Amino acid sequence: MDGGRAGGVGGGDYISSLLNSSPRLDFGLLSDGVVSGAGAGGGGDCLEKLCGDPGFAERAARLSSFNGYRYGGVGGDGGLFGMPPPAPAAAAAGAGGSREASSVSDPASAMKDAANGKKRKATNAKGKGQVGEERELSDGKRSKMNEIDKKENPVKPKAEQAGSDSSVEDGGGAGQKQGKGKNAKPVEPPKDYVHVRARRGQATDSHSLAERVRRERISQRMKVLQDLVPGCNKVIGKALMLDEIINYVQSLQRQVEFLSMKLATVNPLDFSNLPTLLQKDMYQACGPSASSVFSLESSNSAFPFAEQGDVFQQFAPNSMESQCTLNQLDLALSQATNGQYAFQDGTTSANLQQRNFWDDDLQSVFHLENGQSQDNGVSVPSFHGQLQAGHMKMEF
Amino acid sequence: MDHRFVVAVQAEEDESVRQQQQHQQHLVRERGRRIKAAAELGLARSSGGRRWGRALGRRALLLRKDPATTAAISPSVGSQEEAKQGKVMEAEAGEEEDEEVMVEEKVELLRQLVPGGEAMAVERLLDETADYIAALRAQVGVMRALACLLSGLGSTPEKEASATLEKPL
Repeated sequence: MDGGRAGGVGGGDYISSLLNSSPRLDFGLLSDGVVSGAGAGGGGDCLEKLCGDPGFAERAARLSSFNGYRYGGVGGDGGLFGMPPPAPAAAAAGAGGSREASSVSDPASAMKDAANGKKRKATNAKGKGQVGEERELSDGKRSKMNEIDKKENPVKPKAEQAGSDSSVEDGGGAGQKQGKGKNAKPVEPPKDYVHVRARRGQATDSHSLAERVRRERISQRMKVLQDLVPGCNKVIGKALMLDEIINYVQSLQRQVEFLSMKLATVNPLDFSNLPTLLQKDMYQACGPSASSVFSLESSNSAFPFAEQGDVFQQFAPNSMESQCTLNQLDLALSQATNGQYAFQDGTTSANLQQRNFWDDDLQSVFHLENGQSQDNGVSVPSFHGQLQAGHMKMEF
Repeated sequence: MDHRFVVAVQAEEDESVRQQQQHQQHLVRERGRRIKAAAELGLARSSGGRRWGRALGRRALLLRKDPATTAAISPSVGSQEEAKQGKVMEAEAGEEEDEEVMVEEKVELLRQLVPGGEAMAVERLLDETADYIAALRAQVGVMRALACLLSGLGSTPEKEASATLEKPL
């Protein structure tokens, strides 16, 4: 299905991704409808990003006449504007280079996502199927475009953002004529809508066109990946770049593995480290990194599922709180552990006991089936009872 | 007799210490595994409904329950890999070593790396890879900052970590 879709509608996807970016720049009238309809702060972000890019303005000028049609597509996609996760994720990936990458990948990925999303699949498949046919015929009269537009209209109401769509349709229908009038200034007379411009000497039959479009899309995505993977700029060629990408992914996965092991061995109750730092420094460090990790977590959990995975994200802030407050317990606890072996068995190593206790707590965190919560309930009171340390907040 | 007694007690203590150490190591490994599973779950949740996120979530849930199930999973992956490599080998033997074939091999590798990548077209795979890489980087950053903080290292690495976290935001 993917292959068929790519063959039939590849051009539509690729060019439409360009178009989706372009209209936002020039056509305040029309774009306002789309942006407000699509809502989401992501729309504003995209606008800012794309306004800065002259290439998009150029493409906007060239493919300007297709606003009307494409707005339907944009409204239907909707997710193009409201995709917060890719934006911060891509932003987190790197500073300047990611700007372009995110703006490129946003339309591309959003197009992909929208196309493959469950709700929007039917709508877009139909719309794009018609687009593809139109392109392949490459006849392009305005009448045909109107035809497609009308065909698109009944399809549009099924799109997710129905409200925006209806406003966009009107804008699109009216805007076609307006758009053409307005955009007669930039270079060309309005041709048809979206088709891939066949270069001189290249075959223009549908298969090779589709093939070429597909290749262009793949290379576009490879460029995105190139921006993400450091050190990929020197390498040219699919195979080598794929090598780099694979290595990078593997190294990232290994890092995650290593860090999780390290987190397992790090002993938050190991108070020998704490006296080395000034308590002030600790609080200061806790502050900014707490807030930054908070914001990162919140951006990561932009789609709150309220399930187990979130616990890990919540665990970070909690542990930082407990770390900060543990400072106060530093002396008290060290005295306590040296003096009494505060727990059930009398083993020789207090640290071992502490670790076991912490382990139980960790278990209760990570096994949210709540089968283990009773352990937590059991061990915490005993700990509190022994130490009478009220502000040891282990909020799990 | 005292001497022997002491030696015996000593041996017992050593033994118990060793057992404790082994137990500890086992505990640590268990914790590491659970931490990793939780991290993967968090990563999956943050993926925003992407295919790789869902696949990773499924995998992580299984991992959390039981290390035995992971052993069950990996052989299937391994056999898949073998089968595909066998196919590729045949193609290679038939033709000369085309660039396309090499690329195909690498794409296969990538499919196995990115969770849920087995059933995707190449374009989509590249897309998901980009998203996955971005999320992995964020994950690594967070975990590194967390480790720094929890291990009570100096404020400089933490500030660096927090700076790298803050800057892209």
